[in-house]
Amino acid sequence: MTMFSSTQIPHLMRTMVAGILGMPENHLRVITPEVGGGFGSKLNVYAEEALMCFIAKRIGKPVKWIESRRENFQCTIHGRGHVDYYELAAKRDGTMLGLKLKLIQDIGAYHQLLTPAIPTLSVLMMPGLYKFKSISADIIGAFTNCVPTDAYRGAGRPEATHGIERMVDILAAELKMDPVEIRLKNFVGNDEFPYATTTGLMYDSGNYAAPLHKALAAVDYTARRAEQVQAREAGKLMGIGISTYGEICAMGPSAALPAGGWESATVKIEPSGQVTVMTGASPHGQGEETTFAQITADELGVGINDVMVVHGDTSVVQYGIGTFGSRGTAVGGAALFYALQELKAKIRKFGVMLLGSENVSLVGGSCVDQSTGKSVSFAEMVVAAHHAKTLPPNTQPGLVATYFWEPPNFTFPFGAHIVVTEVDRDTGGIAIRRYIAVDDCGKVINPLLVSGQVHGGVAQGLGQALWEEAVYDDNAQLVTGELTDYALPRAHFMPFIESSHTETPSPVNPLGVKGVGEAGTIGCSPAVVNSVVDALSTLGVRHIDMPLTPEKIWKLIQAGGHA
Amino acid sequence: MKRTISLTINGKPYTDEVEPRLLLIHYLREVAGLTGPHIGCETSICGACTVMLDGRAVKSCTMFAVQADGRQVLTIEGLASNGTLDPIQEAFWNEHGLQCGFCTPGMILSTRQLLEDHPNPTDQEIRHGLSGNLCRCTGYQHIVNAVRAAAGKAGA
Amino acid sequence: MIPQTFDYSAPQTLQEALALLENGERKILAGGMSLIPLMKLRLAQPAEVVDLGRVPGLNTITESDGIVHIGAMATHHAVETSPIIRAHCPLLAETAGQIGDVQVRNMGTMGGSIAHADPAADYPAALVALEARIHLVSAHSDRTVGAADFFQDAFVTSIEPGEIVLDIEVPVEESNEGSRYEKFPHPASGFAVVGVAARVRKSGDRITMARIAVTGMGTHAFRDHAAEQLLENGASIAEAAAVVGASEQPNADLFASADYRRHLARIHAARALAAAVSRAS
Repeated sequence: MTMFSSTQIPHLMRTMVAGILGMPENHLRVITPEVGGGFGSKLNVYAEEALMCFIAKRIGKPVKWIESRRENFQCTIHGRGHVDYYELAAKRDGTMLGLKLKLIQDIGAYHQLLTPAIPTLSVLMMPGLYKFKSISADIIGAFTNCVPTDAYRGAGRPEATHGIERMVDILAAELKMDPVEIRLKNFVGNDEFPYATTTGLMYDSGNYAAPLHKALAAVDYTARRAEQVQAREAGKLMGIGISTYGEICAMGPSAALPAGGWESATVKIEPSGQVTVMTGASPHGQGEETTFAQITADELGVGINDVMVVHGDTSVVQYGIGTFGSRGTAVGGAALFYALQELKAKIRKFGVMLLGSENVSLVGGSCVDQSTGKSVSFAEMVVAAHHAKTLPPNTQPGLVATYFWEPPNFTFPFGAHIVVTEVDRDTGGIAIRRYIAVDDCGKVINPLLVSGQVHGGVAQGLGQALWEEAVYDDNAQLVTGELTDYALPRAHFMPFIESSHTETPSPVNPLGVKGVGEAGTIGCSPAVVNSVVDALSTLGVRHIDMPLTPEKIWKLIQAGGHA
Repeated sequence: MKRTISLTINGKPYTDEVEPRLLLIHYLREVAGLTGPHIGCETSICGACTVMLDGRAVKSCTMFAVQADGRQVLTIEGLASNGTLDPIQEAFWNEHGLQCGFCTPGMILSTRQLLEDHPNPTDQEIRHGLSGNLCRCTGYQHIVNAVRAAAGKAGA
Repeated sequence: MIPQTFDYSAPQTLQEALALLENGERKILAGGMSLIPLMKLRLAQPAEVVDLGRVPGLNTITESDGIVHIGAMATHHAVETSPIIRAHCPLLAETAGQIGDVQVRNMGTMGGSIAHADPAADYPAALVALEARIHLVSAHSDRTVGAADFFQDAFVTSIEPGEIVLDIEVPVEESNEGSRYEKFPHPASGFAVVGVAARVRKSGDRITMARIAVTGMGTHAFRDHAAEQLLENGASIAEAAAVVGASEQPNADLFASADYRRHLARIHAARALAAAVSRAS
């Protein structure tokens, strides 16, 4: 049986659907053609996916399942859905000591694939970038009549970041400290890595002040604060919001994931010298087809157009875990890197054989005899390996390597987002005047792809902060069940995002990458809310729950901050 | 009762018997076999189904195929010729104006409309010109860059 | 989302169309931007649809004797960009440009939009403020109705069975006039949570005529005579705007409560009036 599905996890899909149907796993082929975005919603196995296979088997005919948009809203997992109660302990000088959280997670009506893992991730990341002596958290999973919740871009980390970054701003306001100063005072120091958090994580590497300083310089923080004073005198509601975020990526060591956290790569060098890469980390818009071709071209010294990246077909690609949790490059890319090292070692053996010298090194694809300067080309070695007229000792013909890489740790990207807003006193509408995003995702392999991830993440964070909300009526019917009611950011709502980076390599993988798929979403929502709270702080506003819809803001202004 | 319609799609004539209730998007995808235009929301919001009808961008999910009788339709499949990308397609590629690609056919046809109405658009005109097309991946910034680049090329 | 089956006819002449519409069960298809979504949701299930798209001459835009005639099948895009409308009733062009998005404006028609009479549509505010008249014809009748009387309730107009909107007659704005449409769009649908069209005439610094029409706030667009009179009697914009919608019961929905809607109407009335006054000078 062949199943075409729009999923982030083709192999896990095969295992689970075959298991549900009681059919041999190797009789089911899952193909994930071009997947139209995922963001976690396709990190799941939905009842319909198994049901269509069941029906097809039963009637012996092809079956196609098409959802309407409304059905999709009602049946695809939702995200977030927290009610959080925080308590923060700190000294008068702003040193933070302890954090206590009661987290109520709307589970929805059923568990989906990872439902209870999401609030757990929130609790793991509660400390953010800060040093806490103690942390306490209770998670309450509340079953409701609503759509199940599960992983949505960031999956637990946006919730954690929103909580801690709001609490830090509230503390700063209580102590009349600048929100920058209080953050700098509490960051984990550069000399403290690897840093063990009180929640049991080991932060890999960091320089938390660097992106904050870069963002402050980009927005010209001092000038903006001065501008804010003038704006207030003129009766305007201008806000400056800062969020510094930490996240946990490269999901993840297998010990932490239910069905393995490694990733696989196969590299095949064809006799003609073209290279086929097969990754188990099936991407769906992140652009690993390009990133992985770059890594391969760099390592093998071949042209990028000679590399073909293949994914998303369980009959073609070796078992893999999939793309989620900002793991594609940080885990799948590392697996690819190691597969390439194995192939390079084998190619070098053919170089040694062809040059008749042990003193050779592989440079840019060619093998060079260091003593004579003679060299053999990549093409010559590849042909030798395939024609196999003679072979190096203990060496098989052909050039194929498969590597399954188990990561020793997660990676921990970080960054700083600064948002300047102006609130329309008359309507409660919010205008984003500036958006600065400085993200440290470790080594950047493709700047264009990385900025694309940041922009998209910020757009989703802005949507969440300003409008997006699943609303149910008193009969638990979803009211926001069409795109005519549920507002997604459109081009003309989006500000220009001033995106840049600092680069702190991760020691966890050989590429030094950390992952960037979710960064924008995580950094965004607290920066926006902090900015709007800052704008309304003169009215005594301390906190506003998302989404910051115009009427909610207008009512706060009308009530002098006490709605 | 079925009706016979004759129309031109991407320069080629098509004649088919269709039910009046058949939407143009379903005609394009299921009868004409052109799956470039996508169905994203079905409520005339997302713009993934955008095609050009007699030279103007329209949402083919909110139109019956019978309304296209005798008219010219252009879909994303009609842009590249002999394997050479149209300048807008090339700009989207160069500027990374897409991620998952679902919205891209509609975005590109809306861009074509935009550049016909505003050959040298400001960023604000670009953003408003694309307000009928949703993208969940890119945050639009690289799409705006792509439109600007395409405009530059067209003007050159 | 597949509509119920229906019979379809595409008359080639107005006479043919009007003859078909003698059967009051038949539904008119203009641009389809309102009807087709309803049919897809099966909220509308007409047995027969009469497509006016093949009738020539229904989309012309002309001006004669101080009246702009806009054919019912003129698209929003045509209204937005028509040099005649831009020159003679810029309020309408400005309003058309704020409807939906480019694709919707390319297909949607003025006649179709006003016949549908969505309470959150943009045109009604402008047409009421402009004191436009709607020209309705049937096989055996021919009449015009003032815009303020045409929009009767949510999705209810004064169109009688068998009638179609033939064209819309808009008086040319005078040289001492200024106008403006201010809209608070719903972030998802793009419809007007509230939209206010304002039109003023000035003599020196004095406002000699004011027209204020509001859409989105109530079941249908309305003129606010009380606010208009205040302005004409020398009150400030703020004073006049503060009474807008006082006698109307505002709609309430998920996005905006009744109080907030009324407030938005006043804020946007003030903004529209301020812009109209500055344009009049």
